[in-house]
Amino acid sequence: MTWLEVLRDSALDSWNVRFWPSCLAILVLVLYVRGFLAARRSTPARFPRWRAWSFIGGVLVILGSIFSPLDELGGYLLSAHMIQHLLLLGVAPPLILLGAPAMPLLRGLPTTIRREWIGPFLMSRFVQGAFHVLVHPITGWVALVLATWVWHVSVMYELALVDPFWHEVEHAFFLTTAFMFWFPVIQPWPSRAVWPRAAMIPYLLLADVQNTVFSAFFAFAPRVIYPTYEQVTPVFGLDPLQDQALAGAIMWVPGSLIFIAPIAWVIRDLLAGRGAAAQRARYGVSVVETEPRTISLDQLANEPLKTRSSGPRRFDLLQVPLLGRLFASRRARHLLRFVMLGLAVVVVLDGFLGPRTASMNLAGVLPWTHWRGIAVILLLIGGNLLCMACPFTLPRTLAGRWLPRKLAFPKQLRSKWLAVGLLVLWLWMYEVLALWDSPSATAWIVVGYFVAAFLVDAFFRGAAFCKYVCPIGQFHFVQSMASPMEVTTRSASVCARCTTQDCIRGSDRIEGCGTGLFVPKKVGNLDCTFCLDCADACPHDNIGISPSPPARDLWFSGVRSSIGRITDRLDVTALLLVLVFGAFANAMGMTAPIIEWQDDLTRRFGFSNHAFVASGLLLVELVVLPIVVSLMLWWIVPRVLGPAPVGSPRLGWLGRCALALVPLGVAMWIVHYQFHFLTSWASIVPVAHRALLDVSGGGLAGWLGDPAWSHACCAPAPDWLLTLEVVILNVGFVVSWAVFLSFARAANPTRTTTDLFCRILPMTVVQAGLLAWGFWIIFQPMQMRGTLLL
Amino acid sequence: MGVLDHLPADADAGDVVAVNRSPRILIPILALLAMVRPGAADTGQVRDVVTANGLHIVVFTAPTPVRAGEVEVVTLVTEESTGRPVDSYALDVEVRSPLWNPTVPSMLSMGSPDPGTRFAYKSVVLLPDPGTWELVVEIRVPDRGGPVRIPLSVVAGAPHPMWWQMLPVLLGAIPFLGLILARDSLLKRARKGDSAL
Repeated sequence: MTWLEVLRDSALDSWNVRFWPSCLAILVLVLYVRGFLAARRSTPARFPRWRAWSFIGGVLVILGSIFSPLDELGGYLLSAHMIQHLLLLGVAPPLILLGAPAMPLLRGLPTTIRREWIGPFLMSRFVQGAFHVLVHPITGWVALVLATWVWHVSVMYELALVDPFWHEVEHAFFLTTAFMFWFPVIQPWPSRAVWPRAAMIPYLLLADVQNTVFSAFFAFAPRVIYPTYEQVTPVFGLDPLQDQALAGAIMWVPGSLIFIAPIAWVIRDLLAGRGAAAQRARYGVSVVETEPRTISLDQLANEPLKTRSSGPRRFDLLQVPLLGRLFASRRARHLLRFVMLGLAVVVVLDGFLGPRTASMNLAGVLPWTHWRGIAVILLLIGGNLLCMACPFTLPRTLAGRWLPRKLAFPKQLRSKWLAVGLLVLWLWMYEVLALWDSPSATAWIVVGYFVAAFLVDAFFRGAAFCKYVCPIGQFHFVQSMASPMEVTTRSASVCARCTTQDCIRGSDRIEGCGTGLFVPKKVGNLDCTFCLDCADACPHDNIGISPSPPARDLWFSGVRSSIGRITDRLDVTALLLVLVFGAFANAMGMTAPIIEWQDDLTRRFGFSNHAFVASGLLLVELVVLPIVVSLMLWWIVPRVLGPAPVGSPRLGWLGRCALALVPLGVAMWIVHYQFHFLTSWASIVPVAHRALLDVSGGGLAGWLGDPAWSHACCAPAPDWLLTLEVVILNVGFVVSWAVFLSFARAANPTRTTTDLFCRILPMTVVQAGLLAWGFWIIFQPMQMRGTLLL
Repeated sequence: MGVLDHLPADADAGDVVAVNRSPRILIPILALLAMVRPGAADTGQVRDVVTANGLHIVVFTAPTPVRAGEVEVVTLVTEESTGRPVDSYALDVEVRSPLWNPTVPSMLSMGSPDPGTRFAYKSVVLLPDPGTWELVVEIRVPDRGGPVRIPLSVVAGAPHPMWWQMLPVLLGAIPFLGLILARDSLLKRARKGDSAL
């Protein structure tokens, strides 16, 4: 191999793409592009395309400098490390600032977040004052120079070389101070210059002077400054002193260019007679003439919310090309259900006829690893789209054609209590009978589900099975309460003029909402199966799937169509609590210490199997603990926060507490199911392979070979998985806490924030307890073991 | 529109009587809990499936995913022809590092019936460091020919970090709670200002 080939291979092998910076970069780019397109539609002259390319280029430069072989080479060569620093200090920040990022990034955020969460901070005088101090030319200049010199002192530099954490801190310092330094030079819209434009010439010249002194120090140093470079293997034939001199030269020449080139740009502006107006000129004269020269960020953040009555909402899933048409088409939705029915049939057949080892059987893999893993994410992102594709609704369709279906569901069962009981039963069976480990039991459950759905829907009108019976449906309803997407009206004024209300009454050809939700008064996703019968029935094409303000479904305590006031319903409160505590109980049952503890207790008490111990543990987790916590909150919360502002004064608080805990439950379900999905997603390959061989009677064996069973389990967990789990649980905790604070604030509008914080402490203790429970679970090894029925 | 809330079609919205709040219907469901019997036999995640000497052998490992430290190797042996489990056999698992040298003795771990199961055998092996390890699972069933040797290549991930090593991430929610409180304070001040006007 030639040295060029060696260099090429090493460079390719040394790319170190890290998960979290990549996620952050993708998020920033998505927000920027979304906001940029919106801004460009309203003021195209202010946002020419090159600004977007500049911003994207700046982000890519940052990613390139920290992911590329430069980062690795920086440990061997000071010169490579200096190139990395130059990119972070002098290339990426100006490129990003040229993209005028403030407005696009703000407009890229959902309106409610911008207005309700960012707006108050941008309006704060303290924040505005602090920002002005930070981007003042003197602050920026001093900060950059200090950061450069301090981080190149031998002790600090060595620290960053040996410890990746400090290396990242160093980069964060460089980026922050560089943004502060370049801000007055670029003066991105809508900021206003503090100093005259001409002052930027000495500003940059002085920065160049200090850079020259700094570079000369390295270029002419008689000894190696950083001892690490004396100990590592020389690369490219450079000895440490030569490498150090080269580093000095790099900082000197390209480094100076970075400061000198903008001076030419400033002089050009001044010579062109634009002087103080240069900033305006850069954003297009035509715009400046017709619009305010600058706007404050708080004005931008508080751009009025688009409400239902103000016209069509910005995003509607049913109007998205292809996907929207698919969901909007009744036939396509039926097709989706038939596809799911096909999968259910495959699961049932393999469950009954395939191997009894779950991880070799489609009934042990498809529902418990893949379906659950995909379901929790879809429920969060898209709302209750899974119920839309539910194959168990097909019996209802059949029953509707052949049977009268005139009976009303019995009044005694018209609540969530039946579903609560079935959910507890489900969680108990899952744990004690190890459903995920028993293909035949899984198959029986699928069959039982079809039979139950047909029997209920054959006699009772509407979607009684979905609303009152189906435990999976209740899981979907509650998990999708954390989703911003919901079935809603496109224009309230159209509904106000509507006289037929076909969405709930139905028409000659289509039934109205089976779960009795009247869309103009519907709030959130509880009881909504996303079947879109309402959209099909609406003669005005006025129903879509659109985002609502984040977590509104949780903090809304008013009356909801067909449900009433959630916070006053003990059955709904019980449902929410079972699903919250069930999330933790379900995940804990898979951990090694709990399995060992159960085995130990089973042996100690002389039981023939672990059913009694597991049942006892579940009884505590799903029944005793929620009841104790509920009683405690029921007693304490009204005493410290006063009566609930609307609805039942005491029960209302319990309902609010349950609602506020939902995000923690959702987070735990996501963490649990994503763990199995991300560590075992490839298991479908050998299992499907095995099923194909079985179906063909071994006829395909010569062509397909043997299943690669090592794919079933054996990928090591990604490094970022545990951190991701912690982050998801933390997000659940923060949202849960914010929801309860909003309830507390609504009941106590005049109390100070400190006082309110003290008064919500009892609930905070419960939330923190659940968070700690979740943390404990994810730090345990997952056994993925269960009971094999032989 | 307002009238619709009181129509039967709009179910129980605003009609609290229509909602049955009694949890008594849970009683028959709870009664069901006593009627189900569990089976017994632990498994893990399938690592390999081998058919030899008229036996069907499935090898599992736990935990999932495998990390450096103690790893359970579980085997389930059934008759190939009838599917009946074989309940008496010997299990040995040999662990070799990827740089195994035949002159250096490798680690050997004997298996035994898993006390929490009915038919599976379990052997606990130690994989001291992250990386790829070669495991040789040997099963000897009396009167069924020579031993069946199943080589496995196991990639062990880094051991779980201790919780205190992730303390900054674990406590990551706290700054956000501070921001939420700051926002509440700012909004309250803004409302106070509005009402003063």
